[in-house]
Amino acid sequence: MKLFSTTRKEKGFLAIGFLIAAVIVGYGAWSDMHRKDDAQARPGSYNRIYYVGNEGDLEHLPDDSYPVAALAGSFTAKGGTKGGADSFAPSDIKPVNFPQREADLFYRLDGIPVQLGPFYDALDKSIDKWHSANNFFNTVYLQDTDPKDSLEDLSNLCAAVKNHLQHDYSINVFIDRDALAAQKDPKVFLGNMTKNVWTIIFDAETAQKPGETLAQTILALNAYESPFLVAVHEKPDVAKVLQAIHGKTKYFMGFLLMEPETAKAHEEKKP
Amino acid sequence: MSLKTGDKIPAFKGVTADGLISAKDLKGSNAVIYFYPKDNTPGCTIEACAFRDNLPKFKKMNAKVYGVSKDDLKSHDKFTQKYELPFTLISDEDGSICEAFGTWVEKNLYGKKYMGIERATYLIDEKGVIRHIWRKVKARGHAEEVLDEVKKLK
Repeated sequence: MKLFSTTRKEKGFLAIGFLIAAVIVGYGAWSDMHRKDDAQARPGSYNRIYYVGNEGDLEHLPDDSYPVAALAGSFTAKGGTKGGADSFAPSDIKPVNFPQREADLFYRLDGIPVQLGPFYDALDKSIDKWHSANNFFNTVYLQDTDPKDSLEDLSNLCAAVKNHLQHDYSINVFIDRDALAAQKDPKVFLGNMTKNVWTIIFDAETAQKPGETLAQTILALNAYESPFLVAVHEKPDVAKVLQAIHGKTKYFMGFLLMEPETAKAHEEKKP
Repeated sequence: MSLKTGDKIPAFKGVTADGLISAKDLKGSNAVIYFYPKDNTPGCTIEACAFRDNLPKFKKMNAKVYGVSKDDLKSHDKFTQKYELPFTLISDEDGSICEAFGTWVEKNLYGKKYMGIERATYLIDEKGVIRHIWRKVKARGHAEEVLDEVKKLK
């Protein structure tokens, strides 16, 4: 073995080399153990998407580059009444260009559409409009507000929309925590659903159980093992939440920041 | 000045599908007035449906339920029809009722402050006295906690 037959001087160099290597490896291990994630390193930093529900929201957008989910319109199944016709009402937001950020489209449904044809037409038209404003976007958000609709029907709708849009867009969809928990095997259900859906969204307003902190809610949702966002309607105490979930949430993707769309709220802003 | 338990209900006027409503119309029975941000949004739908499902129990306690938001009557009508809401929704388009009850509050989102409706509920007894106030309400399970408090009025 050459190593054991080298001169005293060579052995000295080798020893120093081993020592340096050991110091480097040791420092690496130490810094891994004490490494702070980005959120901790930069307090207040977290993944976020801004929901824009009406024209007035645009002026609230901060000067950063996080994505925007703009309400493209609301789809009313059966006209909202028995015997009515499906209809689509575009939002008041005029398609504008967001040069520094991704601008995705948000569709609110007050029920699963009875006929998909008019729904697809509405989707296609609004997508074209936003494209013509030179926007980059790749995600369609779906929010069904009718708690009576089954999760299976919603999952089927997502699959149909995904098929209609082909590979051009991802789908993010809101689902109800209780409805998910009522599934025979929620993890398997979500596993199947996320074949067509990119990210699941839970609305904190309905997902949070009485007495549960937002961090506890996030940890509970993480147990379903599918990527998810949490929609919040007021800025949470981010530092506190992130500290509580640190290292425990593999699937939490961040917050969707949503104003609850109080009618005319923006006309009466405080100076 | 914000309202507190034991205060008299503030004077207000609002519009419903059946015409005008004011504070004096509430006297003679217990009243639950809940403020919510907007018709047909997920939290508001869950909250409204829970009040709907529990309404027979509220009635047994001689309590009427009123929902208040800044939506117009047309929106309230659609919301009422779609979810078969058997109680009165009050339209507060000018925000005067929200102002009177202190539910028109400063909110913070995107790092900026602006005004919006806070989800809140007031329980008022037959004499027009506020007996319980819930602020920053969580939609799920709220109707049930209000019902528990109504039962204590007896």
